[in-house]
Amino acid sequence: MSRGNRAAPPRDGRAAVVTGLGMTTALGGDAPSTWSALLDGACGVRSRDYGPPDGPPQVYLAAPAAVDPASGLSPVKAGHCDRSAQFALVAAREALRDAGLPDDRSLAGGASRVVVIVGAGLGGLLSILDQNRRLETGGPGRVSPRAVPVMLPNHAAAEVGLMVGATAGVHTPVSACASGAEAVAQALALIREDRADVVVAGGTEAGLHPLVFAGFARLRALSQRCGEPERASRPFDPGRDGFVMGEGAGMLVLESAGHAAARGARVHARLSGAGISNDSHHVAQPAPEGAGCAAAVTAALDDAGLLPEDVRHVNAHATSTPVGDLCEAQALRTAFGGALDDVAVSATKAAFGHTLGAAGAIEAVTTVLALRERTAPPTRSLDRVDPAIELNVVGRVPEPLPAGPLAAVSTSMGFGGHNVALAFTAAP
Amino acid sequence: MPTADDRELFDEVRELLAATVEDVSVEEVALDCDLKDDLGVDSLALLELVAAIEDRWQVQVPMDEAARLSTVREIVDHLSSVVPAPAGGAA
Repeated sequence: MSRGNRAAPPRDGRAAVVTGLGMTTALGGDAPSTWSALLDGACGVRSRDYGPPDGPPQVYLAAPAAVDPASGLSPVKAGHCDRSAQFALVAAREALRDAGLPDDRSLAGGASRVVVIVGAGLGGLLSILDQNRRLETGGPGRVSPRAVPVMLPNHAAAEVGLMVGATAGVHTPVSACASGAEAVAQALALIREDRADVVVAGGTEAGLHPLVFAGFARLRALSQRCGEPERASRPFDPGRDGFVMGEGAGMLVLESAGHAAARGARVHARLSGAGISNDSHHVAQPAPEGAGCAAAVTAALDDAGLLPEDVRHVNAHATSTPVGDLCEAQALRTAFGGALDDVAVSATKAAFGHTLGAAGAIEAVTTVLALRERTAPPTRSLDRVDPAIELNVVGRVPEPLPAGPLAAVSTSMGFGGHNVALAFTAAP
Repeated sequence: MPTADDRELFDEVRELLAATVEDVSVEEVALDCDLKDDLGVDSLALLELVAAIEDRWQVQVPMDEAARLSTVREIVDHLSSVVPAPAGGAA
């Protein structure tokens, strides 16, 4: 991982490769169904009443998970977990199976050093609210003995860690909407530093609750198009008016190239570099012209040993807010210069919404799939590109990516000024 | 032999255990099961079970008493001594 300084190219055996993918989103309960629905132009955004059963309606736009994560777990395990941990467990299990690795404690039972890194945005917010409701309606005796562990931001990481016996370390980056991407960046560092052989890295989020909707609405960050959910999340379109909140999780299994080769693992792509920066500008607004985001992208390219012209695809953070999308477009221009004209930019939050702490990981999985399939996914709701935005945005139809050596970047930004860029290269 | 009321308590305790402890089914819970060794009830699961018992029967189980419960039979016996028998019951 680079924080702005040009890094020495990694030794090959300790380069990080992606061998497993998992995600659960508004488009599907796993990576293949999400990817397929994404290419088909499906939309996960719905307009729903999130108010309490006995209260006035509170209609918000959201991209709820296509598959209830509890349905993939035993009832007892599901009952012990916040919904965010349920998503993380389901996606981690998928990623491990995809990697051809055990999804239980036998994973760490061998000689491999296994680390779990699961980023969190809101953490166990739904559980906090539920336990607080029990406290207020029934007193302290109604609060669960499990209340504290499930409230903590590290709850999902701890559960995934327990699932695989990750004795080499369990970590939880908390950097708002960049958390999932920061988890992947941390995984790269651990593998390069020879502190892990296998890292299960990703992010998770379950925060579809009137409190969160109301908070974002008071910030005027949410789309107001409740009457047309299919046209609500419209990154880079001149008609964009805010984001739509989603939920879910994305997970990657990352291994040192040597570890993957030794077990004959299939490699989806290579995680070549990561860049992290902070705007240090404002708690909720991006720096002017996306300077921090540009720094992160430049750092990721340097870290990966890539030139701007090597990159032909960007999965943009692009939440569909008027200011955020514009700043990101400016940031990409700063980082890529003229090479940006040949970059196919996809904004996939148009389809599965903004999943906050999971977004960076879900979009990392999507970026890897784009490289593997050599297809830039569509920005399903795009009518036209805002004239102020100088990007080659992939519209409603997927665009083929070129044969030969190929690199792609995924960007993530979060409240608090966090910027993370991940650079992937296609498997040879 | 357990009384009919004890049998009802046992059945409810089995349900609570299966709903509280991972990988335990109702059928696996026998009266003589050791909570820790046979059913994998760890300290957190025991607290959760006690909370569920307090909820279900509206009784208080002090921690020192909870700590002494090591088998399913001891839970049933404890409940039998603190839970009022239903009106018209056999006990």
